[in-house]
Amino acid sequence: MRRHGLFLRLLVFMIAAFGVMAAATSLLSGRELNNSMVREYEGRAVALARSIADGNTEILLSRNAGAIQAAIDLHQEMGGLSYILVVDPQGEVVAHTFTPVVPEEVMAIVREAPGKAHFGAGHDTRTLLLAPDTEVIHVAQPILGVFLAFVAMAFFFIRGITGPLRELSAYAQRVAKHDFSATCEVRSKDEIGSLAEAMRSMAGQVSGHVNQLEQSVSEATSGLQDAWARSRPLSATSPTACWWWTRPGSSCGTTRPCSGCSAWKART
Amino acid sequence: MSLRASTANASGETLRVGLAALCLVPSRVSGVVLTLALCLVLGWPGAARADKHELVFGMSAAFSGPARGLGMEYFRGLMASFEHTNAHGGAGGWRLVLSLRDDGYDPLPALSNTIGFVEQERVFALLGYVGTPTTARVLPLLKHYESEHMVLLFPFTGADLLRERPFDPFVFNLRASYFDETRGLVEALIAAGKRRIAVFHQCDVYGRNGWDGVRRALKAHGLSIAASATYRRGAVYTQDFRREVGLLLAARPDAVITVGTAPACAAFIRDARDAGATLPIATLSFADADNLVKFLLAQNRVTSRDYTAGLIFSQVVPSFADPRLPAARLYRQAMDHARVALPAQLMREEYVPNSRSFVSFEGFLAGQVLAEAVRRMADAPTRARLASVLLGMRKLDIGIGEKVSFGPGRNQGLRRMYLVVYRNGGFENVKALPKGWP
Repeated sequence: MRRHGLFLRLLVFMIAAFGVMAAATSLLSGRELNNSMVREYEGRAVALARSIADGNTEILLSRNAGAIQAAIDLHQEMGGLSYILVVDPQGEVVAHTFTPVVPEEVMAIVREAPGKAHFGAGHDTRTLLLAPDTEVIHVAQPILGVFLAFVAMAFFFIRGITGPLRELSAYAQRVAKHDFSATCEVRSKDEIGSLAEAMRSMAGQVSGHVNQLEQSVSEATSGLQDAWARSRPLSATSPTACWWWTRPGSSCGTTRPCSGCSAWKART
Repeated sequence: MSLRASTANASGETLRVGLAALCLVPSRVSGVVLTLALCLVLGWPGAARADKHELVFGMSAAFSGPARGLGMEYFRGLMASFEHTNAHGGAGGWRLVLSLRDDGYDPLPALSNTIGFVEQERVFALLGYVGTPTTARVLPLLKHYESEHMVLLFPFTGADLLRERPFDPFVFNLRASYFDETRGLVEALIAAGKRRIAVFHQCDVYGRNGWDGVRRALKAHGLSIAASATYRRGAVYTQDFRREVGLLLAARPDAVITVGTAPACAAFIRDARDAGATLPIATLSFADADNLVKFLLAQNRVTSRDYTAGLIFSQVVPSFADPRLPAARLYRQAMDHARVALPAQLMREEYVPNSRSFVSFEGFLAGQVLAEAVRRMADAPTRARLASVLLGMRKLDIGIGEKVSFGPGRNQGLRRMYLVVYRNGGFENVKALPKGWP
């Protein structure tokens, strides 16, 4: 889990940031759309109410509610229209398109203007935001699509950054354990690429220093051996001077040929 | 788009039904009549076909959908009358032929059907349209065809729109209006002590017309509607009206007048009775009492409750069972002999016809008045003459105890409404409702 900590943190952050942006965009554009639609519907409703009122003077004068209903029924199929309502000067609703009854909020609007004949046409704005086929949903759907595409892009982008970092981290750990045979294939022309380059050169330098150190130690050791050998006569054939000091397989550091340090170590 | 679709649909359904009996035909026209009897005649132009002595009338009505019962029954009554007339030598020698188109009680198909009748088929006149919203939509078209003297005869609707300016010169109504019907119902209910009256009505011109009628009748008594609720046109019997019932019952009414179609009113009555309301519920003639009772009798069998009690039906024709009425006797005889069936092309939905019904009786009477009008201009029938002949018709006795009169400013032949209740398995005319009924 810790190995993916940065990846997850970045991904969560980006999803959150994109999510907030998408939600804010949806809400703001939805609100703006809603407002503009309400304005448009209001204009349409007023125009419709006026056209019914102006175009049916003869019917209105006859005061036949059936004829008025016939006039408003003609407009009932208009897209987005929620209702048409006609109120006489006594405040009585003489024709409407509601089933089963005129809602109380509409009656409240009617009561606000007493003593006037009232032609109202309206739209239920709640449906603008909530209904499954409304304009706002139509706007929010592509935003959601773009958001999901962004999340997918963010996933690959973050993986493109954290992947080389993870590789560099593994390389550094191997070098720390003196494994100078480890390689690092991260190569790019950005900051991560120069970090990889720096680490590779650092590992090379460290490796050189270590080798040099080993050489110095080895020389110092053989000097000491020579001094010791001079102080104690040794059989020329006895290779006891062979000193295994580092690890199996490395050179024994004696000035004389020997048949193999490992074997000697085993014998001594 | 829907208008175009409807047009295409409707024109495919056009049929002319020429029905005549095979006997009792004068020799002069017998050859023609026998050739055409009981067969479908596909249209050719010319409404008054002088060579065939035939007059074609265009009927657009609901032959499909929830209101199809009305279209079917009105057609059956009209055809029984046509058949009777044609079997007796036609109307002054003219065979009466009906061309049918289905509008499904929808205004737009009714509009396109009418254009088809006038411009393609060139029918002699439009006859027997069924329904207020459909007929109301056709009215501006009639004004448009004013120069061709196109008139609409005896539509099955009591809409007052058809009886007033500016459309009254283009329509001849036989039946009483919805104002007449609702006034009669309100008067009867008030006389029985019911003063708080609620209205359940269709949310369109028909329902509003009935609502307005109730409102005006109550206003004459200083009263107003206790509560009203609406429903969308096209409701079927299975629709749940418990909410509407609750809204109306909350106003504690003494009675409810419904202004709707048979399935909607039957469903409302069912839900009101199920809610425990025993108050009187009234319907208008358009609710088709015969089909409405059929729905409720089926419901009776399901729940063992009497749904037909406490109902009052307004009718615009007297009882067809009344033996004193010559027209009722002739109607029963004609219906018994009639071989009227809707053309298969229009029978898209199952319908079991009523052997006799108020609606078909009204159709029969309309056919009889039309035949008399044709007789009066038999020497040379034209559309222009048809209107003047009808306008000149005064106190025509059609055998129902009421006389038919038309005249300038009066395009409605009959004014009377009848109160009917369902009792002991049949309809009964009543003069008034007993106090405290039901």
